[in-house]
Amino acid sequence: MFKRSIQQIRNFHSVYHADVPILDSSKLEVKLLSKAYTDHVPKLGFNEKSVYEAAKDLKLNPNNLNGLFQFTTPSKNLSMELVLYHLRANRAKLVGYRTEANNLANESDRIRFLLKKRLLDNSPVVSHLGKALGLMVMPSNLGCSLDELHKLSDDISFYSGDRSNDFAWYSKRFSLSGVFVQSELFMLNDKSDGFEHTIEFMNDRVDEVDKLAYAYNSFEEWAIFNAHSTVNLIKSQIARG
Amino acid sequence: MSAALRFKSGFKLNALRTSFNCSLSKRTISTTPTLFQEGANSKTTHFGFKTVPEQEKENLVRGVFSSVASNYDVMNDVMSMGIHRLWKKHLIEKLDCGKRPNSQEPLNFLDVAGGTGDIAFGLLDHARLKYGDVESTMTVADINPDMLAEGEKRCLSTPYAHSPRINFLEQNGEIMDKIPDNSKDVYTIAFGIRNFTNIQAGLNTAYRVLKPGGIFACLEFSQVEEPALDYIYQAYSFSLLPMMGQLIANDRDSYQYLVESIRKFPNQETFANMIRKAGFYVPGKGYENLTFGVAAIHIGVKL
Repeated sequence: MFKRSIQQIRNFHSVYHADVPILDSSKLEVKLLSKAYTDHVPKLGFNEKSVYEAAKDLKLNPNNLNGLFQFTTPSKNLSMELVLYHLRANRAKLVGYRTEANNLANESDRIRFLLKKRLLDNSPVVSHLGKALGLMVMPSNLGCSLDELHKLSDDISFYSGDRSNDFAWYSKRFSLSGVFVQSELFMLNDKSDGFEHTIEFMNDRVDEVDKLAYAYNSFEEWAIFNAHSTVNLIKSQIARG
Repeated sequence: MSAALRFKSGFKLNALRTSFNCSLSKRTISTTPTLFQEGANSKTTHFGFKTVPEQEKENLVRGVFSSVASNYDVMNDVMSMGIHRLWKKHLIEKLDCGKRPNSQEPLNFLDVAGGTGDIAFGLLDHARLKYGDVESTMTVADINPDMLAEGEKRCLSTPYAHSPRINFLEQNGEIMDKIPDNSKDVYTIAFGIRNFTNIQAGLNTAYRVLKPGGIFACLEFSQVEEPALDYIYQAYSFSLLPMMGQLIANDRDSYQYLVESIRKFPNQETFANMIRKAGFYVPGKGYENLTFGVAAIHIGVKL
């Protein structure tokens, strides 16, 4: 019973509760992965080598360390844990951009700002991002990576002030995830200065989502108005006898 | 006929359930740390569902394994339908130990309760075939000379026959007086720790012999969490396994003990906490369930 309640930590934001910490840096795995991610991944990529180098730096024996990652972690795979660390660490950074984002006028601008920050945080490892994405979509890892993707779009929505509590909650997050994945794929081949093409691409996608939302809301309003009118028309015809 | 049989086995199962329930309620008391920690003030321990004086358990376990040593492998295959090989393979491949080609230090493995050497040969093979490691050494420790003799016999047909890289030691896993402190990189124990008289002492010793950064890996039967599956598993293990033991090895009592000792072993969470208590750092949730929790792999790291 107790165990279940620990596992079922809510997967949405609540203004009434403290945020669930994204990374616990007191843990050995996190220390090792963070060392590997910051010092070695930009050169060596998302693979075992980076973790082995980090283990050497931390005076640990790399020859017996796989067991630390391959049994009890969610993905049960060393390279995938490194990729998940990349996702979590960059998601954790978003908290720091919140105050800056709060100065922006509307929700759409804040979303654009946070997406831009998140995409640019990919830049140190962008040359290895293709392989990382390949790992993420492997069937055995897909569950973990989709979970992280949902958490990312949930965080961005929440930080940008989303208060929706109807079906829009889902559609906003789905479309945000879509925008982020498309932009990240675009980024893989982006050679422009400071990834300005990627940012432009991302802004275009957000524009599309905004337009679609406007179109949907307008259609909804029109449909509801006409439904009401029809009902009233029928009522009045019946009342006339 | 079959109805009568079913009734009979159902009845038996119920009887066993009751005895299991009793023992469960007993265990909630006895799992308090004192029993597992030193047992100085508690003079009895479990031997299957029986309660026996502590000093006797070692001899009783010795008796069980001496009598099953010769057809241990056949019986394992029959009872687990060959799945124990997959579990062991999974453990070895995921541990992925071995001296990497660009590394300086060879590894020192210790396989405890590894009488027949499945894990020991598997680990050495993995290191040799995947990383070209021909330097790491293996110590196989077992309390039972008959099981150890079985392993030495099997060693002759492996590439490690008469090699200085592997040595067999008759050792009590709770004490390990011939193994110095901080001397091993990898401690493995597969299907052995539940036979220890004092499990916590065994874990404390594991912590003592490992070097800082060393890894502790334990493959052991555990509890099936899904109640429906657990019912099937209990029915299978309590009704069929002792019968198979009788038919194949002509030794019902030993296999009855094996089944009962599996049931008596602490569940995943409790055992993970015992590993923590011995001083290990336990990564993640601490264990991985295999086949719905019939077996589980527990990991600990000495920091």
